[in-house]
Amino acid sequence: MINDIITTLLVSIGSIFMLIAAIGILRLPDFYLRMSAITKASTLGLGMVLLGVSIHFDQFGVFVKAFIIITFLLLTNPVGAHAIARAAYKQGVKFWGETIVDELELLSKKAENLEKEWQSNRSNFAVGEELIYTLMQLPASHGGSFRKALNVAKQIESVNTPVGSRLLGIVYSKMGRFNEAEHYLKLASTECNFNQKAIFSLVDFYTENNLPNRALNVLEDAMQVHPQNIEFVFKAIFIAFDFGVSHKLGLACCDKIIAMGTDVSADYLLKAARYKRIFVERSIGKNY
Amino acid sequence: MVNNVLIIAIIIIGISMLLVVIRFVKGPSLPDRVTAFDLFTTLVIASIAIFSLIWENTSFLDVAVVLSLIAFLGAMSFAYYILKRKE
Repeated sequence: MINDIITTLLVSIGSIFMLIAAIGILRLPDFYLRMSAITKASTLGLGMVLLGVSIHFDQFGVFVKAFIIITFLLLTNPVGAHAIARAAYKQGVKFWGETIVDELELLSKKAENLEKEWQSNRSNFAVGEELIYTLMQLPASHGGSFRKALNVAKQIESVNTPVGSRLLGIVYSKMGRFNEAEHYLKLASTECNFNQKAIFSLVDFYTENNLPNRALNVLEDAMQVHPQNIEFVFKAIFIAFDFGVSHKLGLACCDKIIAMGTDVSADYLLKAARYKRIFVERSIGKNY
Repeated sequence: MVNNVLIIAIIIIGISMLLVVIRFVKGPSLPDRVTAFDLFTTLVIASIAIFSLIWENTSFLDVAVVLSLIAFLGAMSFAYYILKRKE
């Protein structure tokens, strides 16, 4: 009796969901809205109907079959919807009038404008840098490519070695070519006398590749050259804290900031004191 | 009582099929038709499930399993076709 009630409830609710999906596909104004409406509604509706079927028969075999169909539905419906929507976007199926944001379009326009600006004035490195970042973000179908970004970086390098080699290193690290990226980033950081930007790119590269010790070595060198730069010290503290390595260096950095006393703002002092407490507790073996 | 509810559910699904077919005929672009077809297959699977309830026969569910597989393959191959075709 109770089985029957549950079955009828599930089946009727499921079929009403499917009716809503069908109304949605007929009434919504553009392809992408229809897509989003029908995949959700049909997944839920069919799932409910099949659940009702498996409850009604109350057999293991039927339950397994319904489970297979539901699992498959949950896996394949989003994948299929994504594939079709992507294909439609690439084919240029129109949005309806009231869509306000098309991020890919905006990005490719930005890349075009930056490229024009870069072609007209090759001495403006900020534009070149922005262009490289934009080119690396764009998908290949809209004119983004690593080769173009690499060319721009090489052009910059032939004029200004430190900036150019830093950008080359960033592009290579995004391409996944570890050795070249390391070479160029190291070159950049020694070439421009441990500039903050270059050092931070190298450190970020090492932390992304899970090499905290090398990053800390680089920061130590940089701190010796620029003892007044608090950013380096804090970066070292963060890395030592995040990766749980080299408590000694972390402690030394905290002490350094605390020793500066009133030269730095109270905020920094408070942070340094807090991190020092954590480092001390970690180094005596208390973990939390 | 149960049978009446099932028959009403079948009728609701039939109406939804009709609406989907209207979109299939109208659909201004090919992706519209592909999604309409996808939803139609889902509706067919649901109607198979409800028929298996009405006739108390579980072997219809095998058809539903196969159909759900084929629907996915169809959608993916249509997506690939839309992606690769040239106007």
